Amino acid sequence: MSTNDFSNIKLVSSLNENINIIKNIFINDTTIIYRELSVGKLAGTMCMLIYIDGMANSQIINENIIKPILLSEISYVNHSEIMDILMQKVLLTGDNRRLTNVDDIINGIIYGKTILFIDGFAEIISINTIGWVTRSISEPQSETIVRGPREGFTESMNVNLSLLRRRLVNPNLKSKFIKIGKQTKTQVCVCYIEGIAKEPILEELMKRLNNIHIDGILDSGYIEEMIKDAPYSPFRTIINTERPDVVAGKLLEGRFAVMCDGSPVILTLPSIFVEVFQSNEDYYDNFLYSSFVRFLRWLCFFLGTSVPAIYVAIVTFHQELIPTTLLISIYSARKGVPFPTIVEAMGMIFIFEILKEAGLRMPKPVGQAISIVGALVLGDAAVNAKLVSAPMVIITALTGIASLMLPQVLGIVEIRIIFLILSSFLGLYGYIFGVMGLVLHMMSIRSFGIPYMINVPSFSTQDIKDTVIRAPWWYMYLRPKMFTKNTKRIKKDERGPSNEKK
Amino acid sequence: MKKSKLVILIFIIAMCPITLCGCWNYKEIDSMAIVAGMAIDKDIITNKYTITVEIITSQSQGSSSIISSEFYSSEGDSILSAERAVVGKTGIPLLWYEAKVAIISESVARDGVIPVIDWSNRDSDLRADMWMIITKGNSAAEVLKNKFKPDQIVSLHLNDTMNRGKLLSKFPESKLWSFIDGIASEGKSEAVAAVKNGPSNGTIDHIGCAIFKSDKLVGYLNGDETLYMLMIKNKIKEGVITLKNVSNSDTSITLEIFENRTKLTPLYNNGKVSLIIDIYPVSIISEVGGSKDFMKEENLEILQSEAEKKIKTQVQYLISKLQKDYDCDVLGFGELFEKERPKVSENFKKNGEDIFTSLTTEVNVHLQIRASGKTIKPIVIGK
Repeated sequence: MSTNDFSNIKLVSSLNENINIIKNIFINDTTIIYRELSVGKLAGTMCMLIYIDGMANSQIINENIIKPILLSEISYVNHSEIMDILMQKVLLTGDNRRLTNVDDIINGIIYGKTILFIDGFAEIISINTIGWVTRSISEPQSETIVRGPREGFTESMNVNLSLLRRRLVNPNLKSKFIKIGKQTKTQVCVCYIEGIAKEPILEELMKRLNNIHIDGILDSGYIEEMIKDAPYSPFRTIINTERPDVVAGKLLEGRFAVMCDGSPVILTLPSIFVEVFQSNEDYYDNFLYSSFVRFLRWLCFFLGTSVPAIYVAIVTFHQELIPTTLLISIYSARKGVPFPTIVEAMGMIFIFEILKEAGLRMPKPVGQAISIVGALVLGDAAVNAKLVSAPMVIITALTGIASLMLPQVLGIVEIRIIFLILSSFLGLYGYIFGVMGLVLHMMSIRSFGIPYMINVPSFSTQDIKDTVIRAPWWYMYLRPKMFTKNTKRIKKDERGPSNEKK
Repeated sequence: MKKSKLVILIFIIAMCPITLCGCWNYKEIDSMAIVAGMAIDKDIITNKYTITVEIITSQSQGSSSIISSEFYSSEGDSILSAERAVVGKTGIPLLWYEAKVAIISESVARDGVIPVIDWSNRDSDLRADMWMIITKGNSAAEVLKNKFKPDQIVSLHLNDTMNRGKLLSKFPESKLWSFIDGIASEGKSEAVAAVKNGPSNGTIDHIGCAIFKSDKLVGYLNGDETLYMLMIKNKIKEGVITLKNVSNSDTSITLEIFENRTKLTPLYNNGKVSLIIDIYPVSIISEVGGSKDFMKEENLEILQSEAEKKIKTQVQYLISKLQKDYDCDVLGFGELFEKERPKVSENFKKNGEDIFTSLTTEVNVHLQIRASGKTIKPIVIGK
C-alpha cells in the first residue's frame, strides 16, 4: 500500500476479515506480532492481540493482558457484553480505549500500543503498552551552567511534558497537540499558561502550525523555519532551549513553547532581541554579577560583529586615527605580509569558522588534534612565516571567542562578513552604513506581532529591568507587558526583601 | 522572475557607483613611509631648500622586530618639490599624520619662515600641532640625525622632551599652529623653542627660545630668561629657581615653583604708558645646600626677600633686553594695551610710536613659600 491514509477503510464484525485488513496494511512487515488467544479457560470467544515487538512492553503484555485473558473464569456471558467485561474486569492495564477508526488503530500499533481484536465486534480495544527505550535525563551539553537545575529535555515528548509539569504545578498549564508530517506523523505540542499567555498569539501560532505541509519532521528546527517571522534574517525570531527551567520561565512570562516528539530542543516564542543575551543562570545568580555578565554579552555582540571591520577600516583608510605607538607596532607587524589586510581578515575569519565547525563534527578523541593544529600551526606558524600579521590573529581570536559568549546562537558571522566587506571599500563610512542597515532591519522585524527590538531603545526602569541589566527579583514585579495582559507578577506591597524593610 | 531580475538590476546599478566612483582610498599601512619628523635647511649658494625626513622602519629578527628610523633628504625650490623628491628616493608615499617635529635651521629662520611653514599648515596630510623647533649653530638635519643609539627615533624623543618642558619651564611650548596664530596678531612677536646638539654625541640640548619679529628670527633667549618670560606671560606651570649664597651664609637654596599667577595692569598718565606687573609665585623649598636653617622666622623672611629681589631684577633685565636689544614684543604688551586701553593704543599708532619700547614697568613679586618637603631642618653634620 502506498498511501498512508486509512480513514476510508471500515472494520467489520468478522475477526478474520479484520485481521486481513491489518495484515494487508502491514504487508511485508515481520516485526508485527499476531497473538491469537481465546477468552477464558473454557474455550470461548476468539481474539487477537497485535503489537510490534520492541515498541510495546512485552512484560506488560504477558503479565497484564495475556495471562488474565487466558486465565479468566468467565463462565457464561452474553456475547455482546464480552468487550465491556474484558475492559472492566479482566485487563490489568490502565489506559484502555475502544476504537473503530482504522487510521487510529494503525498509528496506535506503530506507536507501541497493543490492539485487541475480538471476534464479532467491529470495534477494538487499544491498550497503552508503550515501552520503547528513551535516553535518560541528563544535563544538556550545549547549555551547561554552574548554578541551577541540571535536568535537560530528552527525545521523548512524554518525558519532556512531565519535566515541565513538575516545574509548573498548575492546572492552567495547557498543552495542545497536533500531528505534522504526512509520512512521519510527528506529534507536536504547544504549551502555554492559560490566563497569562495572549489568545491572539495562540490563534496565530496554531494557524501557522496547521499550514505546515511537509512530509517529515525530524527536529523542531523544521518547525522553527516553517513558522518563523523574517525567514531570510540572520536573527532568530524563535529561540530554542534544551532546559525545562528555561521553558518554564518563558511560559511564566506569557510565551508559548512548541515541543516536537523526537527532539530535545524546545522552541519558545514570541522572542525578542534581548533574549539572545539572557541565560537562565542570570536569574539564579546575584543580580549584580548577572548584570555585569549581561553587559559583557552586549559588549561581545559588538566585538563579534564589528572588530574586524573597524580594524580593516582604520588600518587601510584612516591611519590618522591610530596613535603613533600603536601605528608603529601595527606597521612593523604588517611589514612583509604579502596579502592586503582585507584578504588577511577574510582568510582568518574563514579559517576560524572551519576550525570551529571541524571541532564540532570531529569525533571527540580527534578533537584535540584540531585544537593543536589550529592554535599552533595556523596561529603561530603563520605569523612566523609572515603570512599573517599578529594583530590579525589577535582580532580573529577575539571576535571568535566573543561571538561564542552569547547564550543563543545568532547570525553573528554573517553580520561580521557583511560589515567587513563594506568597510573594506568604504572605510568607517561603509561600516556605519552597515550598522544603519542592520538597525533598520532589526527594527522592522516582528515575532508573532511583537516588535523584535522592543525595550532596547527604552529608558523606562520597568522596561530595562531584564535587558542590559538583570534587576533583582523583588523589583521585577511586573511581567513583560508585550506578552501578556496579566502583568502583575508580585503584588507591589508584598515585594522587596520584607524582613529588611520593617 | 521579473521581480528577481529587477532586484539584480538595482543591485548592479547600486554597486557600480559605490565601487567605481566612490572614494576609494584604500592604502595599506606597510606601503607607506611613516614620517616621524622633518628638518628644513637652506643651501645659501643655490638658494634651494633641503628637506630631511625621519622615517620609521622596522627590521624583523625572528619573531620580534626592531623599530628604528632612516633618514632621507632631498633638495627642491620649494618644500613640496623637495618632499616629492624624497618620495622618489623612498619609493613609497610618505605618511605625514604622525610627524611630530618640524626643525628649522637658524639660517632659514633668519630669512623668514613663512615660505617654509605654509605647506605644513595648508596641506591636509600634515598636522599643525607639530612642534616647531629652531636650531642654533647646527643645521636642522644635524639635529634630526643626532642619534645616541641605533634604534632610537629622534623625532619621538624630541616630542617627549617637548612634552615634559613644563616641568622646567625653560623653553616655550611652541606648536606650529600657535606660532602661525601669534604672528598674525599685530605687533606681537613669537618665541619658539630652540635647540642645539650637545657636546657629547647623541644629545640634543634645549637652549631656551628663539625670538621672532614677524616671521624672521632676531635672537635667542637662554633658559633662565625664558623662565621669566613665561612668568610674565602667565604661562608657567612648574619651574625651578636656584638662589646661591643666600644672605652670605654659603648656603644655596632651590625653590620649586608649582603655581604662579601674574597680573598685568596697564596705566596711562600724561602721555606716558606704564605697566605694573604683579607676580604671585607659590613655591616650596626643595633643596637646601648648606647648614643654615631657613625655616626660622627671621631667616625665612630673608630668603623670601632675596628670592623676590632676584625674580624682580631678572624680570626687569629681560624686559629691558627685549626693549633695547631686540625691539621685539614677545611678551604681548602691545596686545594687552589694545585690549584694555584701545584709545591709548590707537593714539600711539597714529603718532607712529611703539608702545612696547616706550613702556616703563614696575615689577612687584609676592612670593609665597609654602612648605619645605619632608623635613624642615637642613642636614646637620655631627661634631
